[in-house]
Amino acid sequence: MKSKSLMPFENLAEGLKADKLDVFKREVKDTLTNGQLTEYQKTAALAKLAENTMPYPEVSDRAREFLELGVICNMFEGAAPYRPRYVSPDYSVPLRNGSDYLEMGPAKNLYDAVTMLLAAYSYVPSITGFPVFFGPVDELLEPYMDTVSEEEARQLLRMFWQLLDKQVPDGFAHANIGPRRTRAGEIMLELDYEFGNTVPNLSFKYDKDITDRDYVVQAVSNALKWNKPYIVNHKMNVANWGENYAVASCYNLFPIGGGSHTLTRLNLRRMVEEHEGDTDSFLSETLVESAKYLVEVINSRNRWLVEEVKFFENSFLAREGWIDLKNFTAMAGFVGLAEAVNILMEREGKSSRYGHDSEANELSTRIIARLHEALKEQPALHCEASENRVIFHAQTGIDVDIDITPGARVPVNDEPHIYGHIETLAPHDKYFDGGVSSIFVFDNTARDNPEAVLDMVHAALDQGLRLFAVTSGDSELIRISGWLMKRIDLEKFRQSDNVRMGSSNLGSAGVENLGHLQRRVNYLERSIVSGDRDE
Amino acid sequence: MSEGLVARTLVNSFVDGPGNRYVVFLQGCNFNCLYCHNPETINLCNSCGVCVVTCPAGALQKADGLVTWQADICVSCDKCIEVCPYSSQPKAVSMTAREVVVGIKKYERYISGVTVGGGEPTQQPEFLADVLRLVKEETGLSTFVDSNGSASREVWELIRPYLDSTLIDLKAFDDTVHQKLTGWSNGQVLKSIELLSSWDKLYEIRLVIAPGYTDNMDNLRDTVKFLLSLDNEVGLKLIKFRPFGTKGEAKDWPVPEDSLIDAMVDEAKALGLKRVKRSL
Repeated sequence: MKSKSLMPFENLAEGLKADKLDVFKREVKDTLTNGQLTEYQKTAALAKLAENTMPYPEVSDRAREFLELGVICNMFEGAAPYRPRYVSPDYSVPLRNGSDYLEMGPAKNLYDAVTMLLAAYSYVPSITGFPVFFGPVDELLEPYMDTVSEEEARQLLRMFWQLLDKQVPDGFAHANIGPRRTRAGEIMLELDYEFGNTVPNLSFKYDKDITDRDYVVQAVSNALKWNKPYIVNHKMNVANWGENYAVASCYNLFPIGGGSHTLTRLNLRRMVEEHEGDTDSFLSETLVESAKYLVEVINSRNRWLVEEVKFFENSFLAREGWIDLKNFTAMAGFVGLAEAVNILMEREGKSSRYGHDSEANELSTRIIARLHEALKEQPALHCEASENRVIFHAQTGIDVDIDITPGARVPVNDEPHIYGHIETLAPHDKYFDGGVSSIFVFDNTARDNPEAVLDMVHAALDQGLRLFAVTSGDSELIRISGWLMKRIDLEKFRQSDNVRMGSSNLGSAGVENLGHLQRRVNYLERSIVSGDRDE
Repeated sequence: MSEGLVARTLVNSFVDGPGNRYVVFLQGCNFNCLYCHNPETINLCNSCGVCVVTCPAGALQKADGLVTWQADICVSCDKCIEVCPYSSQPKAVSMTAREVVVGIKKYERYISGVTVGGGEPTQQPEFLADVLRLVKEETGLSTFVDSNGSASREVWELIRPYLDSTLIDLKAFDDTVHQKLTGWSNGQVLKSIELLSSWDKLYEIRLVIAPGYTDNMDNLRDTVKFLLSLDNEVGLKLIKFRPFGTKGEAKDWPVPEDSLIDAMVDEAKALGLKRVKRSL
């Protein structure tokens, strides 16, 4: 079975061959004539087609077989990467020092600072062609707030926030706010509430010992209206990365001033399907072997990017110190934990189900712990930011995923009551130094009582959950996996209009395949119980 | 340790006071409101047995003149509640205050507090006091009571040491309307509201907007003026009448227009009340 994330003409060992030229041309033609893509999106797609005529960076036969089987998935990252998948520049560098490359001096006031950031974003590459990280925007701009009047500051931030959405039409583009209250951050939360724009995707770093309570309540109120910001467990992330970490794209974590060369993932469901043997041998053999080949594939890509493409020697971002190779790492992701656990349980003749029964949940934690250990045993190339090891990421899915649940999530519509849901997910999260996201759906009675949602957030974070994403059943923004799209964009795309947001094209397939619109609301009625039975 | 009759429990609620709350509904109410949304909590089961034959799961049985319910095979279809001719249910269970609090403590990390409602919780005053006392002694949770306000000063005094605050229904300001709606005078309700307010233990007044009874601005204005005269700053929640769960004539009442509820919220705020909410 050929992996769905490879293009039909791709040949991993040799690149495009003459007998597939017609297939290749058909793909080019389909792209050129696709009315659902904007010109920019066509250009990006054509570039991807050209890249994928190349052979993959060299890997062993067995690793290539894993890629072809779809056990290892390259996430449409391309055959021959020429920029890191994720870049999270330290934007305080050009603000402070100016930039020779941009021919701009240091920012002296809020006008300069906003101009610098908006200019800088258009030079930051990533897998999507847009920046995936806008920086800790509150901390970046707060030092300049006093350089202008309060009214001017508000107007400038208003322009800034509006232009993020209009100039970077991509739902993966992610800004961070918090954990400390700032005037800039407060205004940004107000603006985000007012606009309801897809961009920026937004994370709120939260530590109850640092963050003011009414500040986080405002963040939760925003989330109940627009499904963002996500509440991020700051303490936990600081323990892995120190204070200076980025939450970018689909909740990925890495240092500011760095990024991730690649994100390549394992499909746990496919691994279990390919595995012949019992659960113990899955843990001790298949899991370990897969981890080894995954790191091999990752290393081949890191080496290609750093040593052949010489990205870090050629990029002005590195030259001017916005990024540094020593702050880079690479992400090993996975999907399909739920299916893997349920299939293994079934094979043992057990009805225990992930999210609902303790035996299945315990197996899930064993799988994650073992996979983490196996990944961290392998040396990783050019991953100085994480002690020359890959980092582990619960991946949020791509549009071709059918019957594969993102990361460690419980399948949509099979989620248990929220308390059990939290208790299912929290035990894994300490392993996910590369990020994870858990989505909890609330009905609209929660909008009048954000403190109640905050109670759940506290319980979850105290139990070790790394990121709490609030979703409201009837929000205008639909959460696809790690990003948001507007309901109206989905309707337009279905009616074959092209839409401004590149990510929405990915979203429309994702919505249909993953059942996001049906994501179950934690209706209060579900917890109604009789007498003393409170399960 | 006192025993009480518990109608049911909820492990999470967003609409019974501040934060996420565990809710205990006690069985039995002295009022008989036309629009009661959970009439199965009004009376104590008289073991007539009508429900036993309708149970699809075989969870109900009648032996020695008593109807019993088996929780572990119940499928929660609520058929027994639907057919009960006596505004009761076979699923209320007798529990000690200790058992109730053990149930609450399992969820302590997820909640801000506990709200005891009903039925009418003050109809079981010793049990109510024991539950609240144990919660206060053994957890850091806040304690709220959701009541129709008919209890005497003695009952409020009994629970006062363990009570953080209350949610009180003021079903109509005009006593004649109140009597038509509930079968009781609102004299003691108004006294309870004043008493609880003077203790700073009054969080929210609830008013169901019932067509033909309280869907008018006069009742709203009288209510708001009364609330503004109180010692503490109290919230007001306007609840749109819905036919769900009701029995008798209210089943056929129309649902008030959202525009009316919104206008009432605006009016209450314009009169000077700060915390005004409405139900969905």
